[in-house]
Amino acid sequence: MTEQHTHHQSQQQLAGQRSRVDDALDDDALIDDVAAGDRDAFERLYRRYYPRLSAYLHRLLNAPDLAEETVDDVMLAVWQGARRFRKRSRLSTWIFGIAYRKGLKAMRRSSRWWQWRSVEDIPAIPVRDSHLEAPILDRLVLRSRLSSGLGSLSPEQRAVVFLTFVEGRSYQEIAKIVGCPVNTVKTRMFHARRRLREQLDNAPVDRQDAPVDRPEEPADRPEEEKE
Amino acid sequence: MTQALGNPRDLAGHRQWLEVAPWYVNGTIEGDERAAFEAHLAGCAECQREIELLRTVADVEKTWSSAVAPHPARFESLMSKASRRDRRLDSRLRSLARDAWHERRGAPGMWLAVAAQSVLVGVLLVFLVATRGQPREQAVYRTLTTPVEERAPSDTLLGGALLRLVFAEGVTEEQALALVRELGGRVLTGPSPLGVVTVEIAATTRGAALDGERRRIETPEDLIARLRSDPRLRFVTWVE
Repeated sequence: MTEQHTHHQSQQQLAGQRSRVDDALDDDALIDDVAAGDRDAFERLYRRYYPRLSAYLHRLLNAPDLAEETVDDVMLAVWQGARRFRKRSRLSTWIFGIAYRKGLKAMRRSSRWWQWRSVEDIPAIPVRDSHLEAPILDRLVLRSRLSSGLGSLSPEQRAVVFLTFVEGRSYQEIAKIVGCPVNTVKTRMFHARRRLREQLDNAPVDRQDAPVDRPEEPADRPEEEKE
Repeated sequence: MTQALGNPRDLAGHRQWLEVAPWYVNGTIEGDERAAFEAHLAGCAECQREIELLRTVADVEKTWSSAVAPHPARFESLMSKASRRDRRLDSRLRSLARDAWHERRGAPGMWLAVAAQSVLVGVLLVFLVATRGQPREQAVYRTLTTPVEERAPSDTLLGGALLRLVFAEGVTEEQALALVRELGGRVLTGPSPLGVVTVEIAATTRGAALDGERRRIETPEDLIARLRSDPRLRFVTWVE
C-alpha cells in the first residue's frame, strides 16, 4: 500500500464526508417540509432516495419486482410517518432502517422465501487462503467469484455488506439501521467474508491444515448470532 | 500477518483489527482509531491482504448495486397509491368512530325497534278506543260448510263416513258443491288453508253414489276409485 494511495483515499474520504454532511442538512430541511404535507418536497426526497433504496433492495431481495414494490412501500411509510421522525439519527439511517425491515417482511411474505435461506444453514466448506497466495488467479475470475459469493450471502449479511461498501456506513450506523448490537454487525460481516473466501477457494483442503484466517467469535456476541 | 500471529501478545489486537477492516476500507474509522489501525497495518501482512481483498469486494458490490433514477411516472403512481391508502384509512377511521359512538349511545337497530314498537302500540290503542261498543262486521270469508243451525237432524250424522277431498284447480264453488251433492253428502269442514274439504256421506247413502241418471250400489273401494279418476278432484281419501 503506497503513501500516495493512502493520501488519495483520505482526500476521497474527506470529500465523501463533506457530501454526507451537506446531504444531511438538505435532508433535515426536506423532511420538515414533507412532515408538513409538502408534496413537492416529498417528490424531491423521493427522487433523491429512490436510486439508493432501489439498489439496496435489489441487493437485499435479489428479486427486481419485489424490490420495486418494497421501495414504494418504504417511501409511502416515509410520507405517512414523516411527522414521527425525531431527528435522533440521520434521515437516511431512518429510511434505510424502514427499508431493511420492510425488505425482510416482503421476503417472509413472498412465495420465493426459499431463495433467501440463510447461508449459515449451509454446511461450511473447508477453505484455504489460495486467493491470497496465488497471483496467477486472474482478476476477472476473482471478481466473478466474488460476485457469485456476494449473491450467495444471507439477506442480513448482504445488508451489512451493501451498507458498508455502497452506502459507506460505519458499523454503529449499520447497527442502528438493522436494529441490532454493533457486535452482531461485525459477526455478520465476518460470516460474509468467510463465505466469500469459500467462493474464492478453488480446491478446498481440510480446515485443520489451512492457515488460521478467522478470528474467534467475541464472547459477548448475541446468542442468536452464534453458529 | 506472520509477525502479528507469531507474537501471541498481539493476537487479540490483530483479530480486533481484522474485524473492523471493512470499515477502514469504507473510511468510517476515523481519528485515533484510524491511526492505530494504520500502525498495525504497516506491520501486518494478513491485514494488508485482507484490505486488498475488501477493496475488490467493495468494487464488485458497487458494480452490482447500480443506482437508477426512477421513471418519471413512478412518483405519480406512488401518490395515487398514497391517496387510495388515505381514503381506505379515512373510511376505516370513520367506521371506527361510528362504532365507538354507537357503543356509547347504543346500536341504531335498537332505537329503530323501540320506535317501531311505540308506533304499533299507539295505532293499536287508537283502534281499540275507536271500535269499542261498535257492532262487529260480518266476516267476508266463509267456508263451504253448511251452517250447523241449518243442518237437519238426520241419521246421516250418526252413521256417516267421512271423505277428505281436494278439488282440482279451476273448479268453481258451484261445481264443488254439485259434486258433494252427487255423493249424497255435505261439507262438514273446509276448505282449509290447504284447500282440504271434509265431506260427510249420509249413512243411508254410504257406499252409494249417483252415477249420472243411473243409480247403483258401489262399494267403498269403487267409490274411491271413481272419485280419484274424477278430473274435478286432486285428492280423495277416507277419514279413519
